[in-house]
This record gives sequence, structure tokens and C-alpha cells, in this order.
Amino acid sequence: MLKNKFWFLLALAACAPQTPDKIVTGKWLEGRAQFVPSRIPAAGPPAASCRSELFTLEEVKREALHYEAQLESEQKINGTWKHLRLNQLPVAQAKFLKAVGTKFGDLTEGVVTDVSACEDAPCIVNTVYRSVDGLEGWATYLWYLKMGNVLSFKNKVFEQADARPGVYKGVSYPLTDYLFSRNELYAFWRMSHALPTVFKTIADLKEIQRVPRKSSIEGREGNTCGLAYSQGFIILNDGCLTFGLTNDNGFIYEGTTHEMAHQIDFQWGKRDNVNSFYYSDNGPWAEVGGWSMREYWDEATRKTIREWSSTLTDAQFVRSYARTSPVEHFADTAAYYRYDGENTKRKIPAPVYTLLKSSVFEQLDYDPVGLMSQFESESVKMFTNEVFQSVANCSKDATTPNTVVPLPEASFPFAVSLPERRCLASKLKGLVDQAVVEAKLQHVDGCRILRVPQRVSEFKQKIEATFLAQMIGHIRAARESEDYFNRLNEFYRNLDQKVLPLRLMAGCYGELNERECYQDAVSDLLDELIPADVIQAETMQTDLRRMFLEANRFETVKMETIKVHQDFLFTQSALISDSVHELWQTCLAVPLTDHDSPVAGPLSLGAGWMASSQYNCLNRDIAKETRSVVGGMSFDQLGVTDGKEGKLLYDLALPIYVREIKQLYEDALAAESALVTKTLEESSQLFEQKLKGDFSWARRPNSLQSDCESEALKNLPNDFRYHKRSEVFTPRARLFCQQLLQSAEFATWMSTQQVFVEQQVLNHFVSRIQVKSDERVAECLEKYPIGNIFQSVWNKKKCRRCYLDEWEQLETVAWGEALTAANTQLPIERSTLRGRVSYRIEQIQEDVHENKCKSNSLGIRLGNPF
Amino acid sequence: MFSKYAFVLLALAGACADSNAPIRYGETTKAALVADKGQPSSAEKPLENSPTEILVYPDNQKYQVTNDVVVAGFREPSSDEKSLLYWRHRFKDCPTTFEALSKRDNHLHPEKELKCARDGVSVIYDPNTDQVTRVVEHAQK
Ligand SMILES: [Zn+2]
Repeated sequence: MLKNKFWFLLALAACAPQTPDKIVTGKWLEGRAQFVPSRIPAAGPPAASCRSELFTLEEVKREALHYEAQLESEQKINGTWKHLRLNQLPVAQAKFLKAVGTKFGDLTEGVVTDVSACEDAPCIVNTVYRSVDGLEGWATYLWYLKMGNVLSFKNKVFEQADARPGVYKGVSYPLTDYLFSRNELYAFWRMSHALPTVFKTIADLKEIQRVPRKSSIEGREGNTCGLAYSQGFIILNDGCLTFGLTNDNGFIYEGTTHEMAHQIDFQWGKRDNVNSFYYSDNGPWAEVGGWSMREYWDEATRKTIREWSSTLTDAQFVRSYARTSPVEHFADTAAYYRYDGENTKRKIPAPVYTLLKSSVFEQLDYDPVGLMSQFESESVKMFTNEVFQSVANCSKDATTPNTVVPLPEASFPFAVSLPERRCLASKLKGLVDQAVVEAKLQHVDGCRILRVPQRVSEFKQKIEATFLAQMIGHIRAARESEDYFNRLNEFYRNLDQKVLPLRLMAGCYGELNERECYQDAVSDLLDELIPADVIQAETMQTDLRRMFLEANRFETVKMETIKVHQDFLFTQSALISDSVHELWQTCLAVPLTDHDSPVAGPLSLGAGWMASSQYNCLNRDIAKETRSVVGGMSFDQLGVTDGKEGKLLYDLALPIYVREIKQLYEDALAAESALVTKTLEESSQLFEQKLKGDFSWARRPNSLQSDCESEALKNLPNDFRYHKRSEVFTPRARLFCQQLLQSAEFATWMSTQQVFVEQQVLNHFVSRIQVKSDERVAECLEKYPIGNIFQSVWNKKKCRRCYLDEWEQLETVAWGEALTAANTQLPIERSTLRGRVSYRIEQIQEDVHENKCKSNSLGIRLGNPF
Repeated sequence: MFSKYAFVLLALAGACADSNAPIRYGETTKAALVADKGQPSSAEKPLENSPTEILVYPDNQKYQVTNDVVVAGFREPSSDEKSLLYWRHRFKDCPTTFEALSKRDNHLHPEKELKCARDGVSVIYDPNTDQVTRVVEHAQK
């Protein structure tokens, strides 16, 4: 078999060190097929003339079933979903239902959406939608299969303030106001065809939700129409879901794509940056956008200020909003690049355009010229084999009706017979016409662009010239080599094989220069695919090489490789889930403490809390367990043995693993929240019991409040893992303790306790000394005034001597007064206790020395006369 | 627009490696800072007509100097420090506040600042990326 021969040769290529059979995804991909939209065979008229006409139940269902089959696996998902056993469903449906969870439809308490008659996943959605024909369910399911996230169909919005489903910003809405309209679903379907692959690989995005119709977004200004959450949600309101004159345009496209681009930005940030922030706010994007951050600490307000600014002019942004920050710049420019290609290309600086073109858009342009050139290269790819077959057929049998105008002799650089030219003319016209039909049908922008007659004729001219050049090449080459047609047949068969470039790309994964590695590998492959001895005509060789390279561009293949590996991981979901559950249980069993500092790892909980024993256990082992799961993956008895493929699968599996861990965390958090609420409600009673019943926790007179608070917290149940105890319970304990410490009961108890009475006497003692000290200073200053600098020098020492004269007697009087004030029967000895306040007494004396018997009344400090 | 002047100074590569005395925000002088950290790679004026300047060091480390005194410092978090949990754990006994920074934009969530004023430390946390992006140190309160 020729294919095997290629692989033998490929193994020698510098950047494809592994033998091909090691690539498990390659083997898996061999059995996959691309989706081809419905059409009537070439002879008859097409079933639809524009892609937009294919949003029908039949076609959407066909497409969904196609992807469902592609993602099928022997490793079924275990467990149940309501009445359905997941392992009896296609893996894709089981995954969809798991992603939806049990929160769907009308979530109002007491309302049940009866789906017991449903046997498949789309039926669940259709039941909620009360769909007439089932299109909503299949469109939602298809979106999930292609894009990896759920178009929400429930009446609750992520992070809405009101706990009640169906109530948003204080207003009640019917369920239907939360559901996407048929037109909106059409737009999503259209976007699934319009967006490049990277939008289909957003691993962290879980759900796109609709804010109820006519409502603005909670907590935001009225002009905000969408929000992207790192927790995996996008919410959109009417403003982000508007249509233009037709359903094929309107802000719904830019708005939704903008929010999805934020998700890409988050994801690439995690991938690219050591610091795991956004892709766009540092590195190449920030550079081409001229972005810099002004950052300082405002000393007056004690606040940190961080503001972005760009060196670009206003006119260089797609719209003013893009100027907000590099993050918005990226999201906005990406959205407008796709749907408003012409203006975007004209407005934004070339480096920004070029960067977006290669990083997001696989080197494709979306202005009319760029779209036309996309149609051309798609047609060439699609019809090149048929062009070749036409030449082969016309050379065998050139019979054609005489009415057909033959291609002129001058078209060929060598002699071609009249019947053959007539035959070729007929085939050429047929192919060109068909290319126009296909461009409209295959491409979501086909009908819009080719609505202009001038563009159609331009397109036809170009295609005709390309096809004719190919025909000439084929005829020439066939005349040079008899084996030509056979060999070229093989080439064309390989041209459409996605497996070849995928294998090359997987072999280059993680290389320092992936692009160079891939291009070298492709070049080596082409040397073998297009042997020089068979195809001698140099132009033909160049054409074939270009054709292959265009069909397998680095950027495109790179994204496709990621998508294929993600799809493969999708089929391995059961393995990942099992491992996640096992690790969760293991870490749950680790003795609960919060002693250690949380360590870095793949898991982060945002503003969430987890006891560090559990958090550190998870973070230590997630990477190891993910690696082990990847090691256990297989297809058709082939395991993951190739290092580079293993690394790629690991890199893609890790976020999936973390996402599942987070799901378990969310569930556990919700369960614990209920317990926390209950404990909070019971806490006052609990504190009352434990703290009031026995005041023995009150031992240190100077830290009663904090001792009371920590005693209160100590008496709470000890097993909160996902709530920071001090944050949750301290406010309640603080209030309770403040009240308790001022209560009569506590005062009575204190008066019986030696330690508190002692403290009380000492406090009285010190304050009496302060009063007496003040009186004495006043007397001494009267005797020895310090009114100017000369008096200071003269009277300073005399004043101090006067002040300290018979000090012992002063203390004795103060002690007597303190005892009287405390009014206690307990034995209190001055000689044993004075040590505890001696430093305070010294302070009083020092203050007099330093400040009263020292400087003059004008405040001139003698120690520093200048 | 803020005026920004950047000048390249003779970088004393080796000189910035060692940190001798810890910086006491509100006390350490600019001269002491430069003696300790070496010359900055550039300097910025965040505000017009203000005595405040920002000295920029490698690894996006910045010091804010007002009237010749270092009043604040900004640095990237180390690996453990990137998770907010690390800081909430570290600030266990410090009364903290959580404030939204000046509104960043409309579609995303504004950055937040978790402050432990007692220790003069705060961290900037980005709810969109779930990461602590900056550690800010300043004079204690
Ligand atoms: Zn945005």
C-alpha cells in the first residue's frame, strides 16, 4: 500500500522521529470523516443555494449525528441521568447531559419538567423549549458537539443576586424569556460554521446564558450587553443578540464572538505566560497595540491605581470600546476581524492585523478580497481531483456534442485535438459553474459575497484560469510519463487526508520552532509524494506543492491538531472522570488541617477557600494523576507511547481534569454552605451555652475580647473545609463577645476573681498616680518656673528634685485610694503586684522629666536649639 | 495622557542581586534604595506636576518614590503567591478588606485588591483569570 510507503519515508524525516503507528490519535482520526453539507448530486439542481438555507431540522440533525458518531467510544460514561442510563447513550449525549446537570428548564421550587418520555439528549432540550419540530434541541446539541459548551436552557443566570429562579433584578420572567429564540439559535449555528477552530477549543467555557428578554445585566451599566466569566460562563442580553437587516448580520455575531474571544484570551494566558494572566496584556499583543500600564499607589486615598493606555490613535481601533484595555482590544478586534473584515483591515495597524491573522484566523482574511480568495482555494481543493479526472476521461473518450464551443488552440502550449478541446471546454464550464454553487453552499459568507454579479464573473475567471492551467499541466505530464495518471491519483487521495499533517504536527509538538519543524516535515513528505521522475514539469510540481501547503497550512493544522486531540480526549472522558473521583476521595481522607501554607499547582479556586491539607494534596497530585490517565488512554489496542503526543494530550487533559475537580469542589461547597448557614443560625445559642456557662476562658484581663472570640470559634464544629472559619463566624462571635463582656453576669463573676480584681486595683492605682503626678508637677513648676531658655537651664534639676520628693508617700496614698475604689474583700498585696505596673509609673515620671521639667513654655528644645 | 520619560541608565547588573536591608516603606530613602538595588532600568512619572516617580527594575519590579522617600513597591507574585488562597491563608490573623479597583471595563470583572493595612501589604487579584497579578507593599497603617 502506498500509504505505508509514505510512512516509511516519513520516519526518516528530521522532525518526525517517531514511527507513525505510535500516534494513537492518528489511528483514531483515520476512522473519522469530515461533515459534508447536503446537496443534490452534480447533475441536478442543489437542494439549497445558500448555506443559510440549511438550518433545517433534517440537516442540523444530520450534522449532529455525524459529530456524535465521530466522538463515539467504547469507553462509555457510567452513572445515570434522571431515568437514563448514561452507558446506554452515545458518549456524546452522555457528556452533554452531564454538562447540563439536573439544573435545566424551570428551576422554580416545586416545578418539575417532565422528561421521563425522553430517550435522547436533544429531547430534553426540546421538552423545555416545547419545540414544535425538535430543531431547538438538535441545534443546542450540535452546538455542544462542535463548540464544547452548552447554550443554556434554564431560568437562572450565573451569579444572579436573587436566589429565586425566574427572578432577575427583582422582576419575574417566564421561562421562555431565558430561552434563545430560533433566530438566535440560527446565529449560533452560523457562527459554528463561521468561526475558526480556536473558538471550538475553549476548554474552560461551560455555558452561554441568556439574560431574560428586555432586562439589562445586573450590576452593570445599561450599555453592557455581555459578560465573560473565568468560571466558564458567558452571559448575554438583548443588546448582544441583535440582528441587522437579515439574520446573517447584526451585533449578535460581534457580541458573542467578542465574549468568546475573552475566553480564548484567558486560556492562552494560562498556556503562554509564566504569570498566567491574559494572553493579550503582555507579550506580542500588548506590543503591537502599544499598551502600557500606569500603576501607582495613591498616598492620599491609600488605594492602588492601575490604568492602561495605548500609543495607537482612536482611528486605529475598530471602535472606541476597543481602547479600554488590551483585553478588550483583543476581543473586539477579533470579533470585527471576522465579521467586518474590510473596515477592520483598513483601520487597524498592519502589525495588529498580521498578529491576529496568524494567531486566531489561520492566515485567512475576511474582507471581500480575502473571502473570494478563500472560495478560490476551497474550490481548487474541492475540484482539483475532478479537473484531473476530466483530463483523464477526455484523453480516453472525447465524445462531446458539436454544439459545445471548444477551447481555443492558443490556450495550449502544445497541440491538442479539436474533440479533446471540445471535451475539456465542456468539463471546464461544468466545473466552474459547480464551483460557484459550492462556494455559496459551503461557505456562510458565500451568498453575501457572490450576490454581486461582478464578483461572480471575477471568481469564475480566476477559477477557470486555475483549472485550465491544471489541465494543461496534466496533459503535458501525461504525455511525458505513462504512469502519471496513476501516481497523481494517489497524490489526490492523500491530499484530503487530515491524518498526514496531523501526524507531522504531533511530531513537532513542543519543539522550540514548531512552524519550522512542521514545514520541514511537510517538505520532506512532499518530496516523497511528488517524485520528480514522474512529474517532470517544474510548474506542475510547484503547483502540487502549493496546493498541499495551502490545504495544510501550519496555523490551520496546528489548531486542527489541538481540536482532534481534544475530541480524542472527549472519547476518553470516562477514564478522566474515574481518576478525578479517586483523587478527590484520597485527598478528602487526608486529616483535615489548615496548618500549612497553600502551595502552587494546577488548581486554583479564585476567591474560594479550601483547607490547605486538602488543597495541597490535590495540587501535589493532579499533574501526576493526569499523566497517569493519559498513559492509560488507548484506541484500537494502541496506547499512548509517543512522548510528544503524550505531552500534547497531557497539556490538553490537564484543564479538563482541573475543571472536573472544580466541579466536585462546587458540589461540596454547596453542601457545606447549607451546613454553614445552619451553624450560623445556631451559633448564638451555642456561644451562650459554651461561653456563658463557664467563664474560665477569661484569664487575661488585657485580651478578653479576643480570647472570647477565639473560644467562641473553638466551640464550633470543626470540619469546615470550604469556608474560612474566621471570616464566616468572626462577625457573629465579635458581636456576641462585646455584649457578653459588658453583661452584668460577667461583671459579677469578675469581681470574684483574684486576677481581675488585682488588675482593677492596679488600674485604679496607676490612674491615681497620674492625677497626683500632675498636681505635683504644677506645684513644682510654680516654685521653679521654666518660662524661658535661661529659666530652663537654671530650674530644670530643681524642678525634677521637687517632683520626686517623697514619692513613696504619694504611692502609698494612691494605693489606699485604689483599694477603696475596688471595694473588695480579697487579699491584695501592693508589694507583690507593684512590679506589674512599675513600667507605667516610670513612664509617667519620664514624661515629666522629658516634657515638663525640661523645655520652656515656648517649646524651644534645649537639645536642639537650631 | 500622562507624561512618561524613560531613560536608560548604566545598569549595574550584579549590584541589584543582593538585598541588604529590607525596605521600610515611608522611611527608606531613594539613595538607600539605589545603593541596595542598583540603578533602575527606567523611571516614570505617573502624574503630572507631582513629586512622585516610579523606579522600574527588572522583572516588572517597581518602587514609588515621593520626595526622596520610598513609599510603595510593586512586584510580581511568586509561584505560590499567585493563588488568592495563599494570601487569605497568610492574612489569617490580619483584618483584611476586599475592594474593587477603579473600574477596568464593562465586560470583565474589575480587579480587586485584598488589603492587610496592618502589615502594609495588599495584593491585586483578577477575578477573570483567578490569579493574583501584583503584590503591593507600602507604609503600614
Ligand atoms: Zn469585553
